[in-house]
Amino acid sequence: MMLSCKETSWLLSRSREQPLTWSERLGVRVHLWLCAQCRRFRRQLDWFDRLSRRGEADLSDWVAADLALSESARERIRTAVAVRRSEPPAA
Amino acid sequence: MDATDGLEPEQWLRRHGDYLYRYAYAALRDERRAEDAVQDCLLSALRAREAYAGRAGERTWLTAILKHKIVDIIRAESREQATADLDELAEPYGEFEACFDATGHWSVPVADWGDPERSLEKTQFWRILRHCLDNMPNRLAQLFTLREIVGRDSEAICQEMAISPTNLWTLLYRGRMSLRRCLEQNWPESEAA
Repeated sequence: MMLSCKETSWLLSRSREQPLTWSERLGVRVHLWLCAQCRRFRRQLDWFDRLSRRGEADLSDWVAADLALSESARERIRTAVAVRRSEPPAA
Repeated sequence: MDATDGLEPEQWLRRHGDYLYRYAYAALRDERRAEDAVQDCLLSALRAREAYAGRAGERTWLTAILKHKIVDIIRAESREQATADLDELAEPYGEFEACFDATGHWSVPVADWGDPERSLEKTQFWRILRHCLDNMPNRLAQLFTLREIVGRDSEAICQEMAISPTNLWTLLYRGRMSLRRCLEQNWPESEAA
């Protein structure tokens, strides 16, 4: 029984979280071999995966390279740190 | 306390503040919450600095703490939401049935993204991604963010967000389906493959 695109899309997504069974894997492989649409879908999922794999350095640069803590934000953080330091150490 | 002790948080803030803030912003998409995450991160770092002992790089160490703070912030927000009726998650497709026709084929052809980072300006791509995440149901956007942007594994997310694996798989599927559809709808015409 050939998998539909719908079922394949679900299994492709689920396979990122949990290994598929042997027969699911086989079904997906056969379907992908025949279906260019689902191969594209799989590449889209690969691309989502790479968002985190590209690493923090890249990500922080990539999404918001021009973003910086404002002076007032820094001041708020300094104050919070100073308050914490003035507290007695936790037991 | 030795002489350098009082300087640490100030140094962290100076050396890594903007970096941490940008990373938090990428995950939380909001300046105020990103600032909170950075502040929580430095406060935790202050408490944990004895245990740190310079094994990892300072920035790596701070980023690891920051990720936990981001998870905490998302988790706190998700607790405030009413838990969606989970019956509805019994099957994975939900509203995304509509992406397929009666025979289970894609009803709208799947676009070839090529290499989106190369074909679109980075800032342009991020703007579209952000727009789509902002417009997704909050729960889906949160889980997608934890999984695909912060890079938590699904077991950790299940624990942190008190959610069963099957529900997580369904919600991640819907998040991915939602995001890909939105990205395709908002792709600049000239760049379409």
